[in-house]
Amino acid sequence: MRIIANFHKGEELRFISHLDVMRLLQRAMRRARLPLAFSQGFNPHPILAFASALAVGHTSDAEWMDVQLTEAVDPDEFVSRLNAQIPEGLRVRRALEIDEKLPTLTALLQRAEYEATVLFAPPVGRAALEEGIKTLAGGPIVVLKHTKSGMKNVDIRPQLLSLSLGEADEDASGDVARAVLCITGKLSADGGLQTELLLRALLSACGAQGSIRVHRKFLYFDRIEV
Amino acid sequence: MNSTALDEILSAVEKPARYTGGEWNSIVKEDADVRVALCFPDVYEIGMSHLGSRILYHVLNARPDIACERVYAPWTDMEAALRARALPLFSLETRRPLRAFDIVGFSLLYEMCYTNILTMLELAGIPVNAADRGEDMPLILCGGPSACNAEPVADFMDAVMLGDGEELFPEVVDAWREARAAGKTKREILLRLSRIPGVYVPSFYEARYENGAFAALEKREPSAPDTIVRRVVKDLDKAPYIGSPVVPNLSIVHDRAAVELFRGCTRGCRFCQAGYIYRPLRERKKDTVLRLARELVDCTGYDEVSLFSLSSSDYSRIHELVPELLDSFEGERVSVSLPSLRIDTFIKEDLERMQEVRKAGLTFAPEAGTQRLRDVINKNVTERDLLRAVGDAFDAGWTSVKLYFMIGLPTETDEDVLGIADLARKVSALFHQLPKEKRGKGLRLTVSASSFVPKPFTPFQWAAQDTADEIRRKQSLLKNALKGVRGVEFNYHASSVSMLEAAFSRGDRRLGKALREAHARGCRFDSWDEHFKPEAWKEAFAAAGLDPAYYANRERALDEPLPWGHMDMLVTQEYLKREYERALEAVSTKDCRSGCNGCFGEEYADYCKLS
Repeated sequence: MRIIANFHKGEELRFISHLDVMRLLQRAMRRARLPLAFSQGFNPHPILAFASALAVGHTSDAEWMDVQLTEAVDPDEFVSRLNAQIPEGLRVRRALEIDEKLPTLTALLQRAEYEATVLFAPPVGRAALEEGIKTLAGGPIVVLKHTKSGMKNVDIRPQLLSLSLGEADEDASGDVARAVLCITGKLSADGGLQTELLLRALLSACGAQGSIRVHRKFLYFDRIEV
Repeated sequence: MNSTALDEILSAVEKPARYTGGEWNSIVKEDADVRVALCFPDVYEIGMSHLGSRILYHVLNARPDIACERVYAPWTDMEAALRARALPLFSLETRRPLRAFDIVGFSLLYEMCYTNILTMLELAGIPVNAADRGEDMPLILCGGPSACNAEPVADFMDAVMLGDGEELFPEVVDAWREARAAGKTKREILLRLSRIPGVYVPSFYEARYENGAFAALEKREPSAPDTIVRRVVKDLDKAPYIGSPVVPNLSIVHDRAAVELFRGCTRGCRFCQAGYIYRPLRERKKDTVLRLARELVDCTGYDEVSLFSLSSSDYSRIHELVPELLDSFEGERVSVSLPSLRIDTFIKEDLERMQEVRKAGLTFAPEAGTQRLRDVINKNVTERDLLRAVGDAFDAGWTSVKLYFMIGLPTETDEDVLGIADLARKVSALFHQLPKEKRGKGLRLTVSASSFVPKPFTPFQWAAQDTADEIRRKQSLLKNALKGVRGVEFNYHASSVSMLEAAFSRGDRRLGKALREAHARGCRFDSWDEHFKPEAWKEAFAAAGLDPAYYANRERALDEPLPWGHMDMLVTQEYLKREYERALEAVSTKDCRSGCNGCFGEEYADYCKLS
């Protein structure tokens, strides 16, 4: 039986890595006595995969795991049994059975929605911020990026699907101290939009400095309605 | 804690999960009468692998009135970040500053972590010298194997706990609590603690030196005990264990469910401090081990059980335990591992069954390259034992074997060093003479040669360590001799670290100054190659007016006063002397399972069931 399940990664565990979450869930499933299927071969391991790795430090409402079980388990029961065994900072929201013949979640992945919070220090003028967003939208967005052949200048504009300013807190002089940005970017097995790079580019486009928090809100897949 | 600043720090440091806690089974208590911080002066991945502190975490937290939390040494990037923002070192469970705890206890597992103690105290805003700490400061304690000679850290500690902590630590907490409730001063509290057997209060004693040599430890407080006797949990089978252990969120060194089979060791290897300071032998019953293994796997989700002890294959019922354990986890994909295997005891069938689940590498420790030197160190295994054991392993499909040796052992000659290469060559030949279809793919034979460090409370506590130059010469002699041996990889340690280890293991109180000087010069994580600063250490010793060679490379006279002479670890000094003399004559001493050798003398003979 193949189950996919959506889970939340919150504040408490945002600093643990993708591999750490994987190991944590494997152990949690063992504690929950869920009938995990194992791979064949020299070093058998549970058949458990994620749709997409989340960067360390990010939070998310859109984490998806894809797991193979040897016996049928009711998806709701899967959720409650697993939730009883995972620490605060991870929460399974729902699970559904999917066709075993469907490709991996990663292969079906198309795009992701993010909500980024930027704390500007010092605050930035609203006009400069809006101008910065417009500049990025117009492209190109050339950033220095780690690639297989070393650090390279790359245009990430093609990965960006939409960028807009959400809620913004202004200080007494009307400058923006905190802004929420809504981002949609491409995401697939081959990679996708790196939100940190985009937001660093935004800071430099509006001549500002600040700290960034990223929250993944939604993942869109081909052939699966979630 | 300032959480915004902390968030920014955590976003920037390597492996931030070292500092965030929140692990499964971690225990968070908002309210408690006494708050105890268990500090491990090394990084999370090492500290979390230490069984002793996990036992204490469970024992202390089992009491509703005590909140016990964990603090590990921050890695250098985290230390720099905390300093840059003037943030204090904090605990994992409640992010409480270390200074806000009532009792702070350090685990002393090895000497080369001592500078990290200073880092941790400094980052907590706690004066490092006990004498400079006021009434408002936490009580600073230490314990663990290296506490048997706590003199190099004596300046920093209010009290030292000697021996098993399961009963002792709660007694110390209770005494502290009662004394504090009665409005006692720190000095009065320490007086009270010094009456608990196993507690050493360094400030009640003063070291006297004559002509630059340690002469005596003199009491400044008349009511303090003359000797401090190590505490022993007599019935290990009934002793509390690690409960539901914390399951780390990041990968740690020993990331598995560990069941302690027994404490103490009967072999009497003369270099091995653990072999003497954990006596007597105390076993857990087989059914207790099976029950603990089941409970641990169920509450952690681990897929590996490790049967832990100083020499696991010596467990009296090992050949019943291993198959029963494997049967009890049938179908659950739980593997069983046995660290510290003895070459001369284990049986082929156990190996074959263990391999059904996972084929890990095998490690053997002949320790010395010739029979003569193995007799000197009382490592009673023969070349035949080793070749038979390794042969069995190769037959069963193993391809990865590690051989541990030491160089610089007392009486060692070049012939002994070259003997290591001979053994490696024979092991390699054993593999390669198997028909190709019968053996695994490629041999990975790791020969690891550490440098011998003489330790207190061993028969070699009087012996000289080879000089750094001599160790280097022997290392290169061995390296050359191993050239051309198929499949071999040679590992060894920097000789300057071993020399410092030797200085601190047998050091006196004057070394406290060298530690402070080294710390001020940036020494941290000295057991980590990338952080070890030999030049800074050299300067630090010079600034303290001390010479590490005096402590490391000098043979001591048998009647010389020893800085750790006030500690009574139960094994008598007379016994250690006798063993040292036998060592120099290359006479071995039998395993005490086959008859008592009288190591405890008359006074404590009844502690040991084998006597």
